[in-house]
Amino acid sequence: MRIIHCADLHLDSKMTSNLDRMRAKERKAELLGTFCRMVDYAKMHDVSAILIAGDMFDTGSISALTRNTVRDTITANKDIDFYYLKGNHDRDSFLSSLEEVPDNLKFFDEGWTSYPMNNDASVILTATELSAKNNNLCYNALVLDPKPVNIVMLHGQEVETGTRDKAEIIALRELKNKNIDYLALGHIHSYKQKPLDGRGVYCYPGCLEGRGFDETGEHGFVLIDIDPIGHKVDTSFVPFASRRLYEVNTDVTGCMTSAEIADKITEEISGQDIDSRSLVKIVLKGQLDIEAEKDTDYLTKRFEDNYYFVKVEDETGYIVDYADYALDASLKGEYVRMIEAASDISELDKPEVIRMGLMAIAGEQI
Amino acid sequence: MRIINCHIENFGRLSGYDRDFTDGCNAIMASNGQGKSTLAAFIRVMFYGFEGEGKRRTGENERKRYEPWQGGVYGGRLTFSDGEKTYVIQRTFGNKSSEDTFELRDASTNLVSDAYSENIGEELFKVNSESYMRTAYIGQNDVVTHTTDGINSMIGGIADNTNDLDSYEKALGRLNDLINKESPTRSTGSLYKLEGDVTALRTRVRDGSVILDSIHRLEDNMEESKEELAKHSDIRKELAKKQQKLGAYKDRQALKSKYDSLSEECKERDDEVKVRRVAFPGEVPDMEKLNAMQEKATQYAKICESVTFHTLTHEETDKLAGYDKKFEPGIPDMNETTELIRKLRDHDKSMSEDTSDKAELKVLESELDAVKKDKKRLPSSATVGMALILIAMIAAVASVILMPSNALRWVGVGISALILIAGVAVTAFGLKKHKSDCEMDIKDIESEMGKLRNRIDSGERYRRSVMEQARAYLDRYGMALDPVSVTEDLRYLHTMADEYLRLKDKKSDHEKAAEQKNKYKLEFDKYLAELSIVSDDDYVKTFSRLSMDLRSYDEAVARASKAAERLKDFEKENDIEALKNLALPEDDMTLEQINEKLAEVTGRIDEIAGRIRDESDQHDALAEKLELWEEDQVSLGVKEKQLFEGKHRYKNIKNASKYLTLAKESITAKYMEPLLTGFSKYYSSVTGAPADKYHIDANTNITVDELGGQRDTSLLSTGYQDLIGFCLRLALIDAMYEDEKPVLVLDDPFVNLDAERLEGAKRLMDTLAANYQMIYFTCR
Repeated sequence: MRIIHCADLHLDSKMTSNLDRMRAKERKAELLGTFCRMVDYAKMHDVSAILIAGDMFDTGSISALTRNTVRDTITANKDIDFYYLKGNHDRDSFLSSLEEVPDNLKFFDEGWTSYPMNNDASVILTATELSAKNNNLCYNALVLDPKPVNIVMLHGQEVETGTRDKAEIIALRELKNKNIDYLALGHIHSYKQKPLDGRGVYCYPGCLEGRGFDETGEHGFVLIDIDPIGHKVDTSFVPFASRRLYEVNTDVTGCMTSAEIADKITEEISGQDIDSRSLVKIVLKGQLDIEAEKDTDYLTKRFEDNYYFVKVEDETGYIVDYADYALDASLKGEYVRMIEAASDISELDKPEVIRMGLMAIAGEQI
Repeated sequence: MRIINCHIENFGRLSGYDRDFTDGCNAIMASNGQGKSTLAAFIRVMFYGFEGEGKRRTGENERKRYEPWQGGVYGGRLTFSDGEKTYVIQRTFGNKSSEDTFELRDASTNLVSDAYSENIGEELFKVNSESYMRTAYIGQNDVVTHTTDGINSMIGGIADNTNDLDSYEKALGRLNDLINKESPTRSTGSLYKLEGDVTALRTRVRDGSVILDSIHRLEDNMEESKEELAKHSDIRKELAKKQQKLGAYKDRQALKSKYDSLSEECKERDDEVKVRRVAFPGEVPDMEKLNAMQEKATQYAKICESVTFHTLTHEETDKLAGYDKKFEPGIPDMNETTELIRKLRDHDKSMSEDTSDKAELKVLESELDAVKKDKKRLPSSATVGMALILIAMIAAVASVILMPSNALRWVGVGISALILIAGVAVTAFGLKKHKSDCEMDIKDIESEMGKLRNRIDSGERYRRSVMEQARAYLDRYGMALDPVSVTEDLRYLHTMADEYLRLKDKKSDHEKAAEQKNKYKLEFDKYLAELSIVSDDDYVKTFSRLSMDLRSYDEAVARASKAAERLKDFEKENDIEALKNLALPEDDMTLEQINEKLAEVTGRIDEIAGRIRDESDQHDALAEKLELWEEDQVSLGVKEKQLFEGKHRYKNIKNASKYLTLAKESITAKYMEPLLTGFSKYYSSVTGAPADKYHIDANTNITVDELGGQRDTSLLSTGYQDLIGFCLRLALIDAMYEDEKPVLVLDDPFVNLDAERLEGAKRLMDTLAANYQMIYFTCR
């Protein structure tokens, strides 16, 4: 038996934090498209069930396009059972929007619900929606028959021990030795699989598509092959995102011009084999000389044609060696010395003020 | 440095002008309009080029202002020494700077030198043209001075280092431009606009915060509506079940009714068959045979009519008996009679022709007589011939008698002879022809008459023969020949023969029909006896009634059979026992009530579904608004960050501007004291009074203590302003040029001084001559 475990699809996510409106709309459509592609993948690879471990939608407000596409995709694939567990981002809006719940869409509530996943009930899926109310009590209520292959699905943040009154907390210690073969989790946006106890593993598949630059790396779903007779569960992570996000940290210390900085960035990027469809955030780090010339707009333009999206973030600081200006009789020297001595400018701001003055004297753009 | 000489090719009013200069003061005294200021300008232009190149007005555009009055090469040369070296500058000027030429030669070798470029002024004096004109070069009525970035740089001794003091004004300008551009208080400032955007976004975000609540409320409403819909759907399902149950009972009930109806019909049909069977006391006849009988009965009726029709009346019987006797020798042959009648008709025709022929014969006889008489008469042509003979004879006589000459007489006789010949010929021909014609006519008439006589004879013979035949024919049937009525008699005989034959046929037909009638009657009676049917002789009616009864019977049997079949089929298809035991289901509602309630619930469901659709549409609309609101939230966050960072940057720019100004003032403050000392020295030298009341600030502005405060020197008299300006220039030059001193070009700087100050100025000039070469222009 073969099933897919995915989570945190965040369909209808606005995507506007980095992208302009047009591209945000495009990425939003890509998120939905990736979900549909995953279902196509399932159909082509004899997958009989798809587990959606929470946060299928980004908000309770679901657009008509997304609602209809998800519904039609589910109803068009009657041979695949969709087990949809609501996450902290989901509300009832999707299910309540359905005039008739498709037979192959199974869902859960705040009590433990079990579904046999094959005819002879040798694979059982059990899940519950965690809430502040049931979080501490649900673990004791979970009693699983040791004979079948047991899959348990939850949405929340893993912790070793429980925390009172927190809805999205999964106390792993409470789930050990509960006859769980595979603990299908959702909430954390990057792939992670570790042993749960002597019998089972717990796994976060991560989100299906990276959305922001806090979601870099590979994204996709987990393909689970279950042998109920041999009581064997094999898992493999399937990278599936249509685009990947990268954060390229570049130390530009010592650079004096934008061209030198661009060279450093090129050097850093060339070592990472980044696809042109990717979204790239270049983070400039290090300390620059106060008289160094740096133009982030130029740097963005310099690289934006190479990738789907490029953003340059400047985290550099300026080094001011006041000793260099101590004996400088020029206006520049006098200016630096006066800023150094100024009490109405914070130490943090002084390099920037100095830089502005020096650029003004040098006739550079400030 | 020192200017050694100059040569002006053409420059303003000066042309072919040469002048040598010595060390110390070179006073050039001339009346107004002699070219003093032009020479001063020439010296400056040789070092710096023209001022006001872009100006339109000739007074401001020096290139135009100093264009040679008399034409020719525009320019000249100037020889100067700098340290140990002597150079010759040669410049010519065109209409624009690109047409200018510059050449510098080393005076000692006369070779072109690249020690200085065409910017030789700036390279030599280390200041730009503006600064030069504010220090070593005093233009006409332009004594008052102020410092420039270049002067400050030179005074600070940093010109050769970074020259950045020179950029102060521009740098400050850039910072101030940025302050204006990014100002949070000016309406054109980017921060001001950004703050406006942020305020608008905050308002939208605040106003839009209710959207999510509205969506949640709407979703709750939709949830309630769905629950209500589900509840009503359950009610409808329940009602539908009841409806189905009652409907099934109704269906069964209908089936039972149908079964009863079929049974009843079956019984009715059987009864009908029995009633119909009564019409047949014996066997039920075969329809085919009955139909044959009925057909025969129809024929029988016709035969009966024929029997009646062909029965002979008494008169006919008598007639037939008479005819039998009359025609004992045989029935006249119709053909023969007819032939005879035809011949009689020919006989009558012959009679008529005979009369006509005889009349014609008489005419012909008359004609023959007439022709014979005509034959004897002289024809008209013979008469003409004879007349001609007579005329010829008369003419011959007349000619003999009357003609005067023989010739004429002979001519006359000749002509008469000719006429005579013609007359004889005509007479002979006429007589011959007349005779021939008459004989031919007689012949024709006689021939015709012969034919007529033959035909008359032939007719008489034929008529006698016909009469004989008629007589013999009539005589055979005892009838006498009457030539007048023979044809009528023959026709009457023929009529009698016809009637005789007709009566004989009628009698024969009657006998045949009567025989056939009896035959049918025997058959009918036998058939009816077999069916035990009593009938009169109206067999048609009897068989017709029997046929109708049989058809009715057969139809009744068919109907009974079909009814029985339907009943059998129904019994086969249905559980008859269950139908017999059918009972009304127990329910508090009738089917009508259920239907009514169902319609009500369906209407309610439609209403709720419509409401859900409306709510869904509203939800979609609100979701769109929420999306925009969320975008506004993101935009607000971004713009708030931009505003915060912008304000921080704005503060930094302001600090940069503030401290740049302070730095510049700090630098200039360093040479304030030596500058003031120099100024005081020169001031005292001219005025003989201390300069205690004068102050100089970091921006090199001189103020004077007057009326209990420091006043701007612009408030002083022009003479004092010039004096202060001159002294300040000298102090600045001292500070700027510690080693190599520039040449002082002074275009009447003391024109506004009073006599006392002018004396002081002369003393100062004498003093200065020890250190400076001066070219001093003044009026006589």
